[in-house]
Amino acid sequence: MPGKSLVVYLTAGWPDRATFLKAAKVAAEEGADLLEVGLPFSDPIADGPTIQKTSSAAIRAGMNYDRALDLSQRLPPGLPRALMTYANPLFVRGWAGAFGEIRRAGFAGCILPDVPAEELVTYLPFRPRGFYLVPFVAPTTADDRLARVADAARDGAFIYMVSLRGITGARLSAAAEREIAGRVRAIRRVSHAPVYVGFGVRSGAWAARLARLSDGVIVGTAALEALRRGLGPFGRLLRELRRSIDIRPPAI
Amino acid sequence: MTALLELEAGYGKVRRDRAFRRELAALLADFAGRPTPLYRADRLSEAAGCRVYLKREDLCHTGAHKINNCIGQALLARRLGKRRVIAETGAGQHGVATATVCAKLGLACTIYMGAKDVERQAPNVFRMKLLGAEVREVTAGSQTLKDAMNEALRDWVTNVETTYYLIGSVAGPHPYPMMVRDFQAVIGREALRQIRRKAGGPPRAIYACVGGGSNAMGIFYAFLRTRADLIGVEAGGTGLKSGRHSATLTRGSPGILHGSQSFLLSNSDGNVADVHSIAAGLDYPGVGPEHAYLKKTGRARYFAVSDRAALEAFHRLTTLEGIPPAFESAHAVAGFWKERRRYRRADRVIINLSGRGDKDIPRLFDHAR
Repeated sequence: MPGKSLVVYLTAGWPDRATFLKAAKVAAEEGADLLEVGLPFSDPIADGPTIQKTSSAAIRAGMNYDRALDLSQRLPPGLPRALMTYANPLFVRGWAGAFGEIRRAGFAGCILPDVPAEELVTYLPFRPRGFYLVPFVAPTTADDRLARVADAARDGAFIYMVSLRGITGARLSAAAEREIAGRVRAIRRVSHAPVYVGFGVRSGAWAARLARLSDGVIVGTAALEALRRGLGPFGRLLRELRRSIDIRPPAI
Repeated sequence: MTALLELEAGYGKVRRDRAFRRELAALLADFAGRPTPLYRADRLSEAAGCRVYLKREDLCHTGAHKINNCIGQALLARRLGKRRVIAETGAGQHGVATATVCAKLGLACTIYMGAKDVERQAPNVFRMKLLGAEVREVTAGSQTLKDAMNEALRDWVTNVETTYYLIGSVAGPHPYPMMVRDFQAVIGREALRQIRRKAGGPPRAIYACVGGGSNAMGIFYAFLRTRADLIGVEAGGTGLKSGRHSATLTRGSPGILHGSQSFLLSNSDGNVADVHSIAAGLDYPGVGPEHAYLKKTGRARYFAVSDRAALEAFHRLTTLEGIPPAFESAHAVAGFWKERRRYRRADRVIINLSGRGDKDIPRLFDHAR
């Protein structure tokens, strides 16, 4: 059984550029497998209050597309990274040009939460070779849409499993866990792409339960809330998550 | 996405359903007060030098065309088995219309409204509460209409099984632009019939204000196949050069917001711009995708008039015809007035008077003091 992945989200340049870079380094040291760098957008409809606030703070501090890509060149080289943003910041530049620039800035792929798989597949021809786009699956995603999701998840892409109905930073429940298990089983029937579960991952206990159902977990809101308290708490959270998802489930 | 597919399927079913259409027609007639008159504005015609007709959406229940769409969608919500309706509102007109229809149909209602708008439009907030709606103040972003829409979308994805999202304009993801257009198209169907019967022939031109664009789409739609010029008038704010406007089609560029690709006012980073208009209902950085299409094909044209021109038009219509228009609709009047010399005495021009000005009178009162 391959190891489970830990994906860590950070808003580019938040709380400031130096701390952002240090946090990425801490993430690498604590065993993150992928860094999700958020290019802040003015209208982040998929995000809860925490990421809305970090996004608007970063924009106010002057963060933008060019600076986020520049800054990303200084991220730890060994840590793979994907760029998370919304459709419009890339659309206004032209998909092909933007994907190329993002690739050259060291990103392996792009995560666009306001683009459904049906649209995402139409952007695939504009990517550079080997660059991936990440499709989303929600608890409400019906089986007949999963073929499109599988089609979009090419070239090393993972599938972003949204753990609950709603936005980033919400709370998980046991009922949500059962739904996730069902969706992951349905995904497995149509795709070999790894499935990472995000939205609502706050504690080691939850991370362990979600990782057991999938290939890894994505932590965003909780990571930023820890980072707001400092690099120490941020590192401790990642260590807890890493340890929790690495514990093998007891044999039956 | 699943919710949108469900909505699309549900709407596809009801638009062909006789019982639904009868129910809708009955409520539009007896609850909203349709058909609204097409009124020949004699003194304005005299002053302008052509024959001007006003489509009197201002006479609808709740004071604007918004109710047409709210009745249609609230009936659909009930058909889909949703017990709770949410909506975004800027000036509060769509919020009031939604709260009104929810009260009538016994549906729970939550309205999202930007904190700035809550402050600017306190009487409408009170009115929504009287109608039994919960008003949630949105403090994120620019604290205006687009942020209210962001928050409503977040609510919807969280409560998708129980909740219907009633979008107020021809914006947002498919099928909303199509559905809202269909529910507003009654305006144009009536106007086409009325102008033929009353004025003896088709209009040369139609003017409507455009924020998101629902009243304009509603009146344009029946006239797409006629030879009438279709003219959308946007909010030029304090001037296009000042940057304080919301003239999306005139000054914007292609963009993606709230699940549709259309014109958008955004900066070079793709972040959505802060917009301004004296008319809160036009204060939206996007515009319905079908307007972008009509602009591209040349079937309709769009330009902007300033806050000042809209205010002048407000006074002109009030003193010449005894009809105070909403600040939004005053933009349509101002757009026509600017171009009045294009028309000959026998030309018929329709202005869609999308709402009444009562809601704006307190602001004029403050201003006058």
